[in-house]
Amino acid sequence: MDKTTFEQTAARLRPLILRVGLDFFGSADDAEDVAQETLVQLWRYCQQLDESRNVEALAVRVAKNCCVNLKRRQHLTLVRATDSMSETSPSPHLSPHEEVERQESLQAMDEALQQLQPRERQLFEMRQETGLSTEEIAQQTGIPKASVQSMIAMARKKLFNEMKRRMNL
Amino acid sequence: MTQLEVNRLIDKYMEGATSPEEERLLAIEVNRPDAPAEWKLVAEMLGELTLGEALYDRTMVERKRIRIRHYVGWGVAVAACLTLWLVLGKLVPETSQQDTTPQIAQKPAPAAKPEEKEATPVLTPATPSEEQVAYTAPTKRMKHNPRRQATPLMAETIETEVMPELPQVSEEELAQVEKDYQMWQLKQVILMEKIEMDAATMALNKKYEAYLEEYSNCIEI
Repeated sequence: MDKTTFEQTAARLRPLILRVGLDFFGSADDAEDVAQETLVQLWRYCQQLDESRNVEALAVRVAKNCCVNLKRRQHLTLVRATDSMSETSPSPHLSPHEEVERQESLQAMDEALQQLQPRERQLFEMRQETGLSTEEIAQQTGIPKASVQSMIAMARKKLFNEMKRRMNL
Repeated sequence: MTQLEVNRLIDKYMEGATSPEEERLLAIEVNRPDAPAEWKLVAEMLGELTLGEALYDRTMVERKRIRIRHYVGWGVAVAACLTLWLVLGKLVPETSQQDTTPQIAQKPAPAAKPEEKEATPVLTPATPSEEQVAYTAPTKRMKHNPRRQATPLMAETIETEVMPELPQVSEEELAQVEKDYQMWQLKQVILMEKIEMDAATMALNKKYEAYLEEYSNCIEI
């Protein structure tokens, strides 16, 4: 998806994203933050997507994720402020070691995804990113439902085994 | 969910047979801090968006539950207050009137006057007569008991002002929220049953495949 198309899509999706944020926070300011962050993340996703994908479903998922992340950050800020006063309770955020582990895991996932066949990868990502059901994916791609299911299953098994190998599990 | 149920769901996920709702349920389970390493891999495969959506939905459902409790709590409290008010408003003036009426009746002329004028004899005379003293006692009591005159007004206030505020705003919303919550609960039950049925079907399929394999081996031999 190019920049011009995305700008048009973003203008169309903005009210939807704002509603998701407003439902969660009940505050227009927070909903605005959610919308900003969602559109930034959505742009990253859309750079990798073609225009045939269901961007609305993806936008709602990304917006919900942003709501949860923003809430978590607000909570962390509060906990850190309390910690700096009391310095007794341990901080709930990830330790540097856990953060490194997480980055390695994400990298392994990306590399493992590259090894999938293009069709498998496309179907896997459609399911993972937009959260569409098998029927919806079958409708959008024109592939029979049974084939979609078996290709997604194949992709998942390959990914799981590859990641298991890379993470030495 | 138990560990066995999560493992069944993971198997189903690997077969590509899970619905988006089941994947959201699975995302919450495999992202627990005490989850085994293999579950963490499934969590990575499910992705951050699935977890985010699952947590969002769960938070919204929790909030609805809290809102229901809040509304019900306030409704009960307001209803209790109103009942108490109505009961006290009816009972107290009746008893006070019973006390005052015979004493006022002894004095025919001032009893017909308004309350302010009845009270004047208490303040004005420097040396009150026996009649005035006997007459002032009940009026003092009446002055200290404002409910006697206010009772009918209170009932009107309750009917016109307080009552409409209570149910009209919240009842529809309450019913909707209650309905949503029941639907959600029902959905969870159906989901769990579906998972169990699918797991059983998968086990049967595996048995059948094993049997076929054995059978083909026998034929080859």
